[in-house]
Amino acid sequence: MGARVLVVDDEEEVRKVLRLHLTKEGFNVIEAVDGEKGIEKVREGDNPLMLDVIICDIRMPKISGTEAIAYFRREFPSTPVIVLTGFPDTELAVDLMKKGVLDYLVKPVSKDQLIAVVQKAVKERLKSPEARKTI
Amino acid sequence: MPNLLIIDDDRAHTETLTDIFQEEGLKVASATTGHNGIEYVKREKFQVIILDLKLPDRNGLDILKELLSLDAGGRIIVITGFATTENAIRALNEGASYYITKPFDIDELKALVRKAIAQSQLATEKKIAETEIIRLKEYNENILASLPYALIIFDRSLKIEYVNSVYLRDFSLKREMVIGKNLFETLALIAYQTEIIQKDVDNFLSGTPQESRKIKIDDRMFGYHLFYVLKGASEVQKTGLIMRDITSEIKVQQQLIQSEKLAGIGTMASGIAHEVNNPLFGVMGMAEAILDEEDPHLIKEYARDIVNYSKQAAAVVKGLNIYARSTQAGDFKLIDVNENLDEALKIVRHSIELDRIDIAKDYKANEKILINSGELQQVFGNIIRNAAQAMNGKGRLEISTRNNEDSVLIKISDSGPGIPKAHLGKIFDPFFTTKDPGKGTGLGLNIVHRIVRNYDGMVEVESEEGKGATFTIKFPIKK
Repeated sequence: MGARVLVVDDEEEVRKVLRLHLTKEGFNVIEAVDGEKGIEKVREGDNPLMLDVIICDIRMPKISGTEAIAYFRREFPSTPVIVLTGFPDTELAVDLMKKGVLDYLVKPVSKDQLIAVVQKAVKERLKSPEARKTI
Repeated sequence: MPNLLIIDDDRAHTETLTDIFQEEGLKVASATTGHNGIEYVKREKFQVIILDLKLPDRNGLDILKELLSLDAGGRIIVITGFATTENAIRALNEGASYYITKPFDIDELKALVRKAIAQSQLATEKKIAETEIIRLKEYNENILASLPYALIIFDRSLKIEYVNSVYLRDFSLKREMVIGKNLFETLALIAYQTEIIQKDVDNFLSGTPQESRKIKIDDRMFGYHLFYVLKGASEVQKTGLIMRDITSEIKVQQQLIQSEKLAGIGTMASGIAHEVNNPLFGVMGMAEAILDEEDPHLIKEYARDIVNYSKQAAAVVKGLNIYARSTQAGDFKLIDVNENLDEALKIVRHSIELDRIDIAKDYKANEKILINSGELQQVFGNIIRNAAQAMNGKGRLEISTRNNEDSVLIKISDSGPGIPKAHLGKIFDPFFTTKDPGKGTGLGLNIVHRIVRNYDGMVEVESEEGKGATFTIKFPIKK
């Protein structure tokens, strides 16, 4: 079973590209249209829906990416988070890295770079106790 | 203690008088010759001088003249031994205050001395008062000249009574050209469009209070204000007009508006980067997907997506151009508010999503207003952007315009969460914002307020929590 990746972004084209790239590489992609939906998905069900990687944008309506990310890091610290944003903000990047975000990507990002970072995330995930149970 | 000088060569006589007047409480000095008397007066001030016209060294009348020319301030009583009125009258003509003939009644002399002292004191007081009046006049004039305002005082018939030096300097006029002339004629000398001041003066004189206003004179801006001059019981009502050169203040305001635009651009930059990079990611991703794809149908689909995403990115850049154009000053002309609202909507669209907002337009205004198009777009743009952000990109935006013969009215309502009562009084304050740090400068509505007030308009907000907010903007129609 491929690793499960949650994609949180309010732009349709971004979700479509991520879905295409990740599915082609064998990942299971779950989509959420904003921070609120992202948090919902993460809490849905129990083990079957436990996520291995979260890819999240910052600028989103309703709950902002930063809030959602704070939530993910707090409640699911063993699930690595990758930030994928359109606006390069080094201050914010440093801040997020300090809060435990695994990597910070700026759109547009090539497929190769994306897959490389997701694979790094999965490796991180495998180090955690829960992951060893499900994967 | 008053000083008395006796100039008389009769020593015994002088001694007697000295005793008598010392008893009266005077300080007495005496001289036996005219020369000595004059020396005394050169050194001291005397309130009274008793001068015997018959002196050994010089002619009494000459002494009298010299004493008077010394201007010691004293009153002179001449004593003449010859009962000739001629001498006495000559002495009085020369400037002596009184004369008395020997032999005289000492009481009469005492009375004369007393009178002389009283008059001397009066003269001194008068001099002090005059000096004070001159000083006050100068003080007054200095104050009026130091005011940073041009000041004109005129009466009910519009005759100019007083202008201060600032007025003369500001408008390169000479006092003679202005004092006593008619106010309106004088104003016409300095500016062509003074009808508005004239209208205000007429209204003011007929009892309607007037607001301060702005007027353009040459290439300067002046703020002016009418006021009643406080009057004493018997005086006639005067009116004052002050005019203040506010050209540099207006410049600073415009700079503030400009820097808010620049600050706004900073906020916009992140929005634009977001909005260009997203479709760009779509284009790149779809192209990469095509490279990995064999199925021609899917390839076509991805290619179609690339076209759409590219168009999106192009639209964002185009929107930026519209905004850039609006920051250029100088498009000051008659503007159709309906058109300007539509342009503002276009600009707002590329920093915030408006697609999920129902925009209801009710454009009924058919009068134009004289304003800078870029500034008006800022006013509308800021309010619309705030409304869209309040509604989180989803809801209903109602924009209506109408006019009467005096003004154009624009209303912008949103269906957002409304503004709490505690904030209503502050939303136009500079730096007041309820957004997260970095998501707004808090100057947007303050700039709206400044721009609107600059054009003598008015902006108000009504809101109830849970029921959205309505901004009402009113601009006067200036002919």
